[in-house]
Amino acid sequence: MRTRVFRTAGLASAALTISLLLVGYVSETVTRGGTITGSVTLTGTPPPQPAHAVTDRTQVPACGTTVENDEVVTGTGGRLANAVVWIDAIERGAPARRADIVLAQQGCRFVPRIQATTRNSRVTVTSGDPALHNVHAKLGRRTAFNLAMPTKGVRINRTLNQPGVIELNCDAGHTWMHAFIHVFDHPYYAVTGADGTFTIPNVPPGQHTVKIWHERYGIQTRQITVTAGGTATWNATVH
Amino acid sequence: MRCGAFAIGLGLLLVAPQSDAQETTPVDSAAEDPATPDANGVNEGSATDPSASQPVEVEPAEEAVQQDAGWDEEPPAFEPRPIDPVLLAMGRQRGAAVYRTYCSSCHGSRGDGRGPAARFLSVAPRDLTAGVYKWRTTASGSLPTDADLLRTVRQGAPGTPMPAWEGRLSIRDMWSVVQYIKTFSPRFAEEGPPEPLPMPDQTPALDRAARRRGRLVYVLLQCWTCHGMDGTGNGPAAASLLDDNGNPVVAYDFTQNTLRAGNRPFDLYRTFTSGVNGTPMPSYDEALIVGRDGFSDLGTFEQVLSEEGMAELRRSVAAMPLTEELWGLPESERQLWASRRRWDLVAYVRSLSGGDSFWQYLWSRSHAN
Repeated sequence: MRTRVFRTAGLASAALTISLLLVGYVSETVTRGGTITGSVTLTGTPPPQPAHAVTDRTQVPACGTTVENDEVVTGTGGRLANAVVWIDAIERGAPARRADIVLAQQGCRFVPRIQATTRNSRVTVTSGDPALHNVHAKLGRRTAFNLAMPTKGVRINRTLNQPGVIELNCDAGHTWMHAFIHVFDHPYYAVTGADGTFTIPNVPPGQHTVKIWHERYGIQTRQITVTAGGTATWNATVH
Repeated sequence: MRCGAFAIGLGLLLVAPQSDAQETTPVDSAAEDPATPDANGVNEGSATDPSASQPVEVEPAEEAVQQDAGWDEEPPAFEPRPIDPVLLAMGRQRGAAVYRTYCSSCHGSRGDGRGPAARFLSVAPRDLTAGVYKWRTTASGSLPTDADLLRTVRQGAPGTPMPAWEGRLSIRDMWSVVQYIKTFSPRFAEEGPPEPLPMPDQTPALDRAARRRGRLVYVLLQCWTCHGMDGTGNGPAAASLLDDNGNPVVAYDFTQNTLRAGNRPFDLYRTFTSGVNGTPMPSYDEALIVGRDGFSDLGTFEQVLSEEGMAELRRSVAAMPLTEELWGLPESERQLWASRRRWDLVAYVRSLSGGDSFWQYLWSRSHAN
């Protein structure tokens, strides 16, 4: 399970990095852009996700005796939250505006678990837990930053200056803590909400490679043609 | 200015014998201004520092400078910056020869850590192609500065097969080899020179009072989560630690007097501030800027401390300023506040190994002269 997550993250990271290194993104004004919209649905029964039992007594005051597992979050009809959708290797389009994000640590979980933003945006890491965490962020296998968060009220800012998938974990005994931040060179990405839907607006007309990633279910790819002012729909299913 | 730096650099590389490097090293601020011989920056700060119930004792700058003139000094700022391309090319060429002779048997001719001798070593040689370096003065995840690499070459890594090259190679050769090993990873060319974090230029007295305060820092910042309450590396999280390649790693046993990053107080200070890249050890840089409001819930500590210990901890926390007050301080005073706590921690951690025992202290003094 864990290896699968790592492999998925690694593949996604490699794919992103390679595609973006080879083709630098060109910002321009998009006139008569189209929209890519759709949803991600989990078919079948959601996997059992038992809460993690906290056995180390030094962790209990901050974490409680159990910590909920929020790897797979589904809404009504199996609609899947926390899937990242993006146009892969897009060469030109609207400028990627800075979109600062916050990554909180609350009850020994990262909140939100899955985020996406643009390159050179700032992430503010905070902690509300009265115990040691360390936010260990890796891009591929390399540490991007590893910051001690010894108690609640600590806030640290970092700039995300490389595109790719950042995986975050905590080494301070909270082995279940996981989060991902997808960093893009372009603005064509979305993260599905509780209703499992996504919308990517202002897309330059043409054929695009769209990818959907989920921490547990890996990557799906589809070629999607966007017409000027039109809407293309992809209702994806995972199982 | 640039011309000057270039000329000095060129002079050093082409003609200077080893000792010249130290003569041209920029001296620290205390030494620059002989009219203010004591470390007044530190003492001034303590007057306005809300937490300064116990002023940190600082050795007179004169002594500190004397100490710095020996082996204990930070490696000199040897590299002229921005570096001249001709100078750099010459350095790399020389560095390649030095590397082939002294380094490649372990680190490999391609720098991948797979030299012919590597398999006989108790600790695997660093893979220099990864561009990940443990011992730095830079932010977590960043590349090291040239001075960082030079320091590691000079002092080696105690407790591992990596020897100290100080005294075996000239400073010029060591600088050259640093320039050469930077070519093994594309990161150096891609990212450019990293910005060092603020580091102190002198070591204060690490006395009994500092050790006592440092123990509370060790407890509060929860170093014991990995390193254990007794400092032997047996903390509750120690068993689950993995490095960036997913291999199990151990938390440092501070009772052993072989810290790989170096055994000087400054080496501990630096590692604590910048973290150890590639390992779970995080950077405690901005993380120190937290006041008593951050520690309003001490439930975690009740699990590991006795009643007396808790009482002492509560007293110590109550004497801390608020987080907001710390952020409201001018940058220099905030740094000073954090710096004092780091030194206190260093004093405590060194006491675990007897690293600042009387004899050790005496030895380090005489060694400096």
